Amino acid sequence: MRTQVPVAIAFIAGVVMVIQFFVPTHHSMALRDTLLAWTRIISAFALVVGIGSLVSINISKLRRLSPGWIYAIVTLAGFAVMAVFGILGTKEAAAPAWRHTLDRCYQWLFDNVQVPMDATIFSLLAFFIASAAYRTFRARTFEASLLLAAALLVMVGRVPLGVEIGAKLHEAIWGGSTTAPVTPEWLQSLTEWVLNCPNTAAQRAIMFGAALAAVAQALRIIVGIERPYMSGS
Amino acid sequence: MPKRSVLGGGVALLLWASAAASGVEPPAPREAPSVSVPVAELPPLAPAELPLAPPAAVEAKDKPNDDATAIDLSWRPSPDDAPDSQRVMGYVVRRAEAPDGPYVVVGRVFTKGEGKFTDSSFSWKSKDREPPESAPPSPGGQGPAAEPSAGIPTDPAPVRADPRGQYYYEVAAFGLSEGRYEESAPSRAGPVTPREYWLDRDQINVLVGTVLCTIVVLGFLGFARRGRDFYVRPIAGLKAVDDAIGRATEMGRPLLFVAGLGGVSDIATVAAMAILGRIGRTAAEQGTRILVPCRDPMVMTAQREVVKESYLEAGKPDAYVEDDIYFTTDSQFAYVASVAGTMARERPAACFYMGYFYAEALILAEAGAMAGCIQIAGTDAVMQLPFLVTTCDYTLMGEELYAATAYLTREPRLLGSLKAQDWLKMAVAAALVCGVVFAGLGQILHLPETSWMLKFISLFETR
Repeated sequence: MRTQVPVAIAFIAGVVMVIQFFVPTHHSMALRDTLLAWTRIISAFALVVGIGSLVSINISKLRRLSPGWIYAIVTLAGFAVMAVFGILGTKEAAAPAWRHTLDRCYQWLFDNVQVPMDATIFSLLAFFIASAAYRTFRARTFEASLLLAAALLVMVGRVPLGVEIGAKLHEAIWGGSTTAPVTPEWLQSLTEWVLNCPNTAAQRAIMFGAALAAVAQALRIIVGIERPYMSGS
Repeated sequence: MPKRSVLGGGVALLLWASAAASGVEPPAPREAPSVSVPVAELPPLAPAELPLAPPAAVEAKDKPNDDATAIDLSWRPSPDDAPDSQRVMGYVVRRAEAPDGPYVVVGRVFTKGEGKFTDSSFSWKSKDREPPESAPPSPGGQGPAAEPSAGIPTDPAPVRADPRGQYYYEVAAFGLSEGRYEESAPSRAGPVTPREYWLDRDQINVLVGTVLCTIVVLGFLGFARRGRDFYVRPIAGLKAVDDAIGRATEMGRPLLFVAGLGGVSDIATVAAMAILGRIGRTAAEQGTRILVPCRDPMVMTAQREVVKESYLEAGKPDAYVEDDIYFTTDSQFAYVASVAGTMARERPAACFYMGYFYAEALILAEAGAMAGCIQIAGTDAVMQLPFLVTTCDYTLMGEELYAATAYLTREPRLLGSLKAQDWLKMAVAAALVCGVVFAGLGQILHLPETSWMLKFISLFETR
């Protein structure tokens, strides 16, 4: 019973939603809207559980003074401040002035703390791309050498510095000079070919395989032979 | 001569005279409102002072393949709607339940030329059809310049109509003349009734594909049930999963599992949960701690259940620690910072990145590499695959992510569905080859669109 009920619910919900996709009647649309509303309600409850998890884990870190407990204080303080400012602050004209002040504080913290910190983490990508490229492009194997050659080709054809290198390369091989460096036509064509043919072909092949696998996985879940919601199969 | 003809002739004469004086061709005469004034008493009339000409050939049709909540309208532009003229700013669309009205505005189109508008102000819910007490003004426009301009009346939000009714439409051109709003006489269409469809015909090819896929997958499940053995190629990333868990056990360090940024409804997240179940069971058997930081509270709740079940199946329910599957934040980069911090503090021996990833994939994988973890990734996010391939020890690409449960459990029915995928891939490849050949032949032989070769290609088009 404990396993049959979830499997039955998964089967009925899966079949109904597949049929709903192809039947555009208003009853079908109403069913979809209702299920979406349920999802929103469940996610609201799940958010409460999530917040509970965040708070309880950080409080227990503080109690035990486990390594990094100082960050738990920052997390809890940040959470409390943003929650209070966000819930009590408002832009409504009829609201008292102190609520407008809280709203402005919330906006200020968002713009001057959250956004710059997000940007900081995002900007780490530039350094991580360099370090990942260094490790990968050490041409130890045939595949790595191929990757290195393709990457160099595309970089020379696309990146501003590469454009200058390409122009110099063209001068060295075929002579002539240009006042402004431009990517030689043959290099541009080769770069485009690498991007549009082998690269796109490989991407599409992966996407086809993934889409078919997703269909098969969905069927396995609907018929109940795979139950990821119950620790696998 | 009827009065209208007298006036029309008079206006044409005036226009001809003014055009002759300026050296340009006079515009074609058009119908004007009937006024009983003798031609001799008419004041001289400049072309711009003529009323706007209405649009022509207004058509109202039911929008196909919907739940009877939309009507498509189309019309030919007003003769005054010339590309070099600024007189016509757009078209106003009105709807009525009777041919004589009253007509209410359902929208404005702020584009010139051939006009199209979809009236979607229908609702099956009677509550939605009640007029609001104070309807908020709505520009009600469609098109790129839907901002209400000064001088153009602000229309009230259209009251939703009953899809079971019969409706009439009128379309009029509008513009501003010396700051004053002007509108042409309306052109009418109707009656039209929205129609409800039982099958979305635009999706028939998708339906056929779904049915075929289902038959093939269920067929192979049947073969598997009858005991047929299926060969599945070795997948290095999945073979390494047990080794990675073993390494963590030997080192006495935890495992870290990241299920990507997808929600619980993403199929990649569902596949990730299946892998988590398997990893959780092995970790429970070996007594290794598993940390699962989550970005989505719903995913967290589901993953707690999955890991709890794994510990139960391993016979170690007491070893399950709920707080090891925890919510951090739903902000993308704050989540990355949190996971990278966990890697630095907890020093996991192995990291698993399974699910759908965005720009954070590389940051996570580099942080893991710096922490000295064995890293196994699996995603169908094509744009992130190169980053994961270059930074992780093993990467499951696309379909390999979905094959993980079958591969790890070796359950015959799951392996059967993998074999079905292979056959379906072959069918897709065959269709691709046929499509390329037929499209090529179509170009070379200049085949008409009605030829069966080009019709074959159109079978795969989705709308």
